[in-house]
Amino acid sequence: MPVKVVSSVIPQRGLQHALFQDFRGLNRTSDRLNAPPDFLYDLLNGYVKKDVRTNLGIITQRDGSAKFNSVILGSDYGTTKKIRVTFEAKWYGGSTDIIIRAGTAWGKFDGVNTFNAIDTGRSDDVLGQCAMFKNELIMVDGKIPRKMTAAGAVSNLSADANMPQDSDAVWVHRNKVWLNSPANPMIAYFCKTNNANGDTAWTGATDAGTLDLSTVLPVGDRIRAYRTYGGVDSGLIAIICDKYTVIYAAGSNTYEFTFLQYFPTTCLSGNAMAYVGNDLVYPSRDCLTSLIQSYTSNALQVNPLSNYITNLWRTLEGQVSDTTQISGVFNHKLNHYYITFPISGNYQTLVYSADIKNFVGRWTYPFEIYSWCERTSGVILAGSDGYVYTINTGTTDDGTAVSFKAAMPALYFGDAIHYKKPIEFEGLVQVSAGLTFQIDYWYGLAALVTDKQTISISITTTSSLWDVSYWDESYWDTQGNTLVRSPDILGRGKMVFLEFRNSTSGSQITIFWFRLGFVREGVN
Amino acid sequence: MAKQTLLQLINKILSNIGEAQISSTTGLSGMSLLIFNTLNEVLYEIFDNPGKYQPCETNCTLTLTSNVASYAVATDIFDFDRDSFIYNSEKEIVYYTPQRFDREYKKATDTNVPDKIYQFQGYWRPYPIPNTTAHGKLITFRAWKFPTIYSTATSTGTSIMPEGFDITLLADYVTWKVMVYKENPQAQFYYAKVFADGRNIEGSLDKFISLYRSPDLSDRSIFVEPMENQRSASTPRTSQGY
Repeated sequence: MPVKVVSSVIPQRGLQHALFQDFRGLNRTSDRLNAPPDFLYDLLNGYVKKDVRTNLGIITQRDGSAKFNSVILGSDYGTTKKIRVTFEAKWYGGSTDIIIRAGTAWGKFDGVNTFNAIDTGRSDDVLGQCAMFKNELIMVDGKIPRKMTAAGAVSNLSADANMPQDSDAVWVHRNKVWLNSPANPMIAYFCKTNNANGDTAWTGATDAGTLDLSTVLPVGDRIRAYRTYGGVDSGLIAIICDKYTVIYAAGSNTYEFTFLQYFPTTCLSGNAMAYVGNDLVYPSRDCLTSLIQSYTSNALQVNPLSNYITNLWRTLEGQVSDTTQISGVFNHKLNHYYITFPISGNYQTLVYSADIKNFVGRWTYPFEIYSWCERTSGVILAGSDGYVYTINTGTTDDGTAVSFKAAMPALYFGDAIHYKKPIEFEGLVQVSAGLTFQIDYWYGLAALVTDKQTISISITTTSSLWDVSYWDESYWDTQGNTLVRSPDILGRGKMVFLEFRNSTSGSQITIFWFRLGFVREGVN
Repeated sequence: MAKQTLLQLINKILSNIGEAQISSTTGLSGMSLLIFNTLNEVLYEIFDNPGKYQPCETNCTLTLTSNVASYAVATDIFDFDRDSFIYNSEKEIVYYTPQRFDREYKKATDTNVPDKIYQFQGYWRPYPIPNTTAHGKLITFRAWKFPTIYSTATSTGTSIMPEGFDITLLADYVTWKVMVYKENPQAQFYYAKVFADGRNIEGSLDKFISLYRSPDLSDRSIFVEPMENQRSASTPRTSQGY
C-alpha cells in the first residue's frame, strides 16, 4: 500500500547557509522590506565596484579627501566664500591653472596654498561656467563674459556690444564660442568662426549669429548650458534648457545649424552636466537623464540612469531649495559620476557607476560641496566653503574619520513565511589598516522590530586595497584578505536587517562577500 | 553557588536559544516573556504532575475550636498525606473519604475529641465535632504545597527547584519547550538532556525524581522508599501512591 507523504511543518531542518555576493548597487524601487537582496538599501561613504579579478560587485569604502588650498579664501572674495565654480585651465605650454569662482571674484591657485583673486567686483555668490577657446580662458557668471590669457591678463571677452552681456553658460563647439543671455533666455549666441574676442566677433547674420529657440519650442524656456553631442562629425550641439533639450546639427558651413530634435526632459542644473562614457547626462526632475549619442549617425536616444533609485532621487531633489546649485562631475578613473544635492544641512553626493550601470553609493563629507572638477590628471576637485578639496585621496576626510555604512535590504533567505534563526556570520573582507568592523542587525517580526544588536570585530590584518597587478600572488593565496566570523548571532525573525559599519579613522574596508548560517523555524 | 535567580535563568535560556540577554525582568516581552511563562509552567508540570517532591513538603496544623465543625484548607496546599493526621501529638486521626464518612455517620452532630477527619469542599471536617476538651488543641499532618514560582517583580527571586537542578533540568526543560514552540530542530538536543535519549544520555528529570521524590505510601504498612541518591525501580513517576 503506498504511503502518503505529508509535508512537515518545517520544510527543512538543520543549519542552512545563505551567501551574499556580486552586489548590484543601490535599490530604492520599493521600501527596504521588498528590495532584492543582491542590492543595497544604502551605502554610505562606500560604493559597489567590479572586482577586477572576479568581475563580481564588491562593497568598498570610499577614499578620503584633503584640502587643496591650505589658506582659506581671503577678503578679495567678499564675505561669501562658497566656491561655485572649480575649473582646470590647460594652456598651450602644457601648464595648468586651477580656477575658482567664489563670493564676488574669480580666483587662481598660486601653485602653493592660496587662491589669489584675479577678477573682483563681480556679483556675489552666483553660479558660473568656464571654457577654453584658443588658449584663452572664458569665464561667465551672469555679468559680461571675461577672459584670461595664459599670462594671467583678465579682460572682457570682447568689446562687441552684440556679445551677450549677462551670460552664465558658455561652451565651445565647432570653432565657435556659444553663450547664453538670461535677458533673452531662449536665444543661443555663437561667435564668428575661430574668433570670440574681436571687436566684431559677435556681430553679423552669417558667420556669427543666434538660434532662436522660441521658434522651435512650444513653451517658454531658459538656456542653462550647451554641450557637443556627437553625431556625424561631432556636429550636434545640445542646447539644454530648463524644460527642453534642443539638438541642432552643424552644416557644412560652421555657421549653418539645422534644428534636429528636442526632448522634454527638464534640466535642473547646468553645473551637474557631464559626459559619462559617451553619454551626456544631467539631472532632471524625475531622473538622471542620459542622452545617448551616436558617432555614426544623428540617431538620438534618451535614457534614465536612475531607475533603481527613482524614489530616492525624487526625495533628494525635492529637498533642494535651488536646484541650479546641484553640481556633478564624471570621474574617469573610477568610472563614477558624482552628483551633489545641496540639501540644507545635509549635502549628499550620489555616485553612479558606469561599470555597474547603477547608482552605487551615497557619500557625505564634513564639508559642503558646491562645485566639482575633474583635472586632466584624473584628480577630482570639489569646491567648498573657502577651500577646494581633493577627493578620493588618503583615508580620512582631512583628518576626520570616514563613516562607512552598508545597509542591506530585509533578508528573507528565500522564505517570507517562516522564522529564521541566524547563528553564524562569516565574511571575506580586506582592510587597509587595523579597524573595528561593526555588524548591526535586527529583525522584523510582523509589525514588531526587535532591538538592534551589534557585533564588533577587531581586524588587524592589513593589506593594500588596490593591487597594481591583476595577477598579484596575494590574491591567489588569499593573503591580504581576512575571513571574519561571528558564531553568536542573536535573535530570530522572519527577516533580518543587516548593516556593516566602519568609522575607524585612517582605515578602509572592502567586503567581498558574506554568509549567514541559519536554522529555519516554524511560523510561531 | 546558589540558586539561580529569575534573571539568571531567563538569560541562561535566552543564551540557549540564541537571543539577546536582558537586564531586568520588568516589562518582559517577546521571547523573554515566553520564557518566563514557560518557566512557571514547567515548575507546575514537574511538581504538580506527576507527583510530590521533597521541596514541596510541609507540616500543617489545624487549631481546633469547640463546637466548630469545619476548618478552611490552606490555599497553598495541593495534596496531603492521608496517614499523617495526629491529634495533639497524642493519637492518630483516621482520614475518611467523604463517601465513607457519609456511609458510616448518618447523624454527625456528636461533640467530643475528634478521632477522624475528612475533607470536603475546601474544608477540613474533624469528627466528632471538637468539644471543650479539644478546644485549642492541634491536629497536625503532612502535606505538599504548590511550588513557589517566579514573579517578574523580583528579578532576584528563586523558585522551589533545588539548587543545581534549576540550571540544568529547569533551564533545559524550558529551552526544549520554547524550541518546540519555535519548531527549531535543535529542540531534540534539549529533549535528550531532560528526558534522556534512551541510550547513553541520562535525563535530568529522572535524576531529579530519584533524588527528590517523596516516599510513596502504597499501603499503610508498606513503604517503598528509594535508597539515598538512587531511584527505586518500583517508583513509577506517574504514581500518586494512593
